[in-house]
Amino acid sequence: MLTSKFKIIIYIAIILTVLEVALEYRAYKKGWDTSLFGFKQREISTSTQSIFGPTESFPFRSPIVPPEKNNKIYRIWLSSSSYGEDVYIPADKIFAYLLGKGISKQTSHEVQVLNASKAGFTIKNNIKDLKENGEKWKPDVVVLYQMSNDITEFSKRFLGGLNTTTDSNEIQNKLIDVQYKKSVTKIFENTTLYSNVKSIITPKITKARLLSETNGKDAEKEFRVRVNEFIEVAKKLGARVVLCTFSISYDEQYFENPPSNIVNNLLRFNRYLSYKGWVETVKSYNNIIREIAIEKNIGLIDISKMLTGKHKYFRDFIHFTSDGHNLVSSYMVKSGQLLTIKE
Amino acid sequence: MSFNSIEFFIFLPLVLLLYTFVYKRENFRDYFLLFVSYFFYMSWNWMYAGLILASTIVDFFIGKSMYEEDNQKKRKRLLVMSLVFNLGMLGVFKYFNFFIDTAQMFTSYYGYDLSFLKHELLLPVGISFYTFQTLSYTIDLYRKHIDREKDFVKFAVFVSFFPQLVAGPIVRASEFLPQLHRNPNISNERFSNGLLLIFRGLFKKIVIADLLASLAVDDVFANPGLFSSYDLLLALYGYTFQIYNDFSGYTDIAIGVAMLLGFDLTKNFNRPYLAQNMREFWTRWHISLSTWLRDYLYISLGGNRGKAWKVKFNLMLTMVLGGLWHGAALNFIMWGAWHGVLLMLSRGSSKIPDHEVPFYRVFLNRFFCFHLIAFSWLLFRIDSYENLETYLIGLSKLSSTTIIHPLFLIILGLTAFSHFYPQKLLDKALGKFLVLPDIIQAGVYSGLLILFIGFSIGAPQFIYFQF
Repeated sequence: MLTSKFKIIIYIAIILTVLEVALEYRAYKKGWDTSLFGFKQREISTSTQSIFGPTESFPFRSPIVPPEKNNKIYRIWLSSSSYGEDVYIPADKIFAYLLGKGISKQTSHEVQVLNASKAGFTIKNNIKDLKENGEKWKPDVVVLYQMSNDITEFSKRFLGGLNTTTDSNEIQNKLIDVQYKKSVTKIFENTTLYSNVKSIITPKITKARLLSETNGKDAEKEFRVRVNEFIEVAKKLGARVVLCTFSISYDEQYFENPPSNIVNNLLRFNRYLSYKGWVETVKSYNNIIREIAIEKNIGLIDISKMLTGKHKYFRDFIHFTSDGHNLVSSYMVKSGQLLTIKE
Repeated sequence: MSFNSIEFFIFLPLVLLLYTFVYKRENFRDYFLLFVSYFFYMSWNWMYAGLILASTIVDFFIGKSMYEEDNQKKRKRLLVMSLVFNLGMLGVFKYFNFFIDTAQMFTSYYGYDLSFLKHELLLPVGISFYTFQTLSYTIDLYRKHIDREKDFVKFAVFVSFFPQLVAGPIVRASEFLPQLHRNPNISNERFSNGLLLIFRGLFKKIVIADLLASLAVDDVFANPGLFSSYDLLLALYGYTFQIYNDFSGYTDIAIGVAMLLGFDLTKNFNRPYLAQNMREFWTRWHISLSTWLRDYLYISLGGNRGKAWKVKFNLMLTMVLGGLWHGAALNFIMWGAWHGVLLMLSRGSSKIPDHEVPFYRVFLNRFFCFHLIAFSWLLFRIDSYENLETYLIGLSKLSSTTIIHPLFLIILGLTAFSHFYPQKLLDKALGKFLVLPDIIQAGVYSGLLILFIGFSIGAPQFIYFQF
């Protein structure tokens, strides 16, 4: 051995490993997703007979169906993020599944919902996903419920100076690659120790920063570009597009005194935008969605109007409770935007 | 792969582990160090490894020819070749676009557009550092201050040694090459010291420099018009300590890592804000660069010889070029010129020995000198003439409202306190830590690592990486 002092490094590795295992076990016991002990929630069976994805050949969190399609099948593709994928709630309690059930009652067609939501996805990722898999699965309707990851990405770029170019495809592709990358950093960031430290210490530090109240006009422009691009890609597949406004659990009534757990959680992922900034940005992007829906004459489900501020339907700022999923699905079904086939 | 990245925390223990098997065998050791150094450098951009390799090959063979050549004219020609190659490479990558932009200011008046000449090549990381390092080798050979290195691999390790490759300290061949011919100096004590230096450097970077930047400095410098004079002053003090902790933090890690591998790197900082005048500042700040500029530029220009105006001219030119070394921008030239003027003015400063200077004078000298330096950092950091003007006007308004969080003041206060705290007492405290049982030291280091994760809001690059 180089020197007996090398053992300090070994001791450090041992201490951190023991700490990680202990925290992983604690997290597992609490029902969180862990790398070492798995994920209790996944073992909770759904109350339906269906077998849910995702699998290798079926990349959706919804009942598994073959890609082949006949005239009697009506297919809805949902592009969203963690709020649509929601691995912490059984798959048959998520709004994606529930709305399929609801719409089935309105038609004699077999309704299949392809829940293409993935945690961490931005609209750019949704576009890429739709381009790669849309042709194979031939959706009749494509629904977009997506916003918070775009906001965070814009904050990093426009406020954090990751880059200031808005129209460089190369940079856009690089950003997407970053999302897919499984590097050493990603593995490390997936440890429970990292997650715990990041959610306990980092938000306290970040709170002391001079946070911004907006991502700026360039970010707004880019959001508009993304939504438009999403619509174009969906239309090329021959699908009808339905946009949804984005809902959040707390609104402007809490500007003076936002709940600290909500603020801590926001700062954990986005160290640039204040609580007020989040609320204002969501509001302004929702307006962009409404404008685009009118301009392009496409369907709109104004979920924000119905749900924003009603925090009992949310687990945190953006993720729904089971009741929230129920409410969203029934609102989507009642909106009449998702079913356009004639019997 | 930066020193404050997760990849480096995996890379370094692996390198150390493998090093245990090769460090006693000279050949294996050299090849191993060369391999890991290139691997480290190529983790940024593999294509630019070709530039280091080219610089290594050119200077190795020029050195060989120069050593074997007795004809002074031919030796000089070889030196010029080395200078043209190395400075040419630096010129193309670092300064070419700046010169085109400057020329464009004049030619656009006559309707000529030169922008098509600009290139879009990225600046290779550390090019300013390793270029100066290889140049010191050929200049020292030319001056017959050193013998030539006969072993190409050892020379290549000298040029690319990963701990100091991207941001110094700029190591002289006379200091480093002899170490490659000896067995690495590895002992329990040096290993402990090296580890302590690495953690001290990380603390300076992550807990002090990055927090000062993210809590206020970055925002204030981006929009100086939005802040009161009190906040502008705080941010200026903040940047003064940020840049010190960022750069000296990097140097501490570099020296620490080299120490773990059994090598000594030159000291680069010696509590620079304790300087009582600008001359003293330059013996305490970025020592490896200031001595390089003194030995290879200032002295080559004539140094202190000649008439007073000539000496002043030499000083000014050295400092302006020193400023330009940091980057191809007007603010770096202004920064260099400001230091040049201050150095010229401090040439006639008091020659009274330090211990005879009354305490209050020491305090006043330091206070005055600190503020002259802090102002120079304003020139260094500011990105446009408009922002400089806004900053200066804002400072003169004397308003005391603040929107900066008290945490910023706490960190600023702590770093200032530790900077001015007696070195002996600091060393004593650290010495006591080093004799604690290994398991306790490991516990403290583990705690620090956790703290670093929590305190890192992103992982910003070291400031001097861009140079």
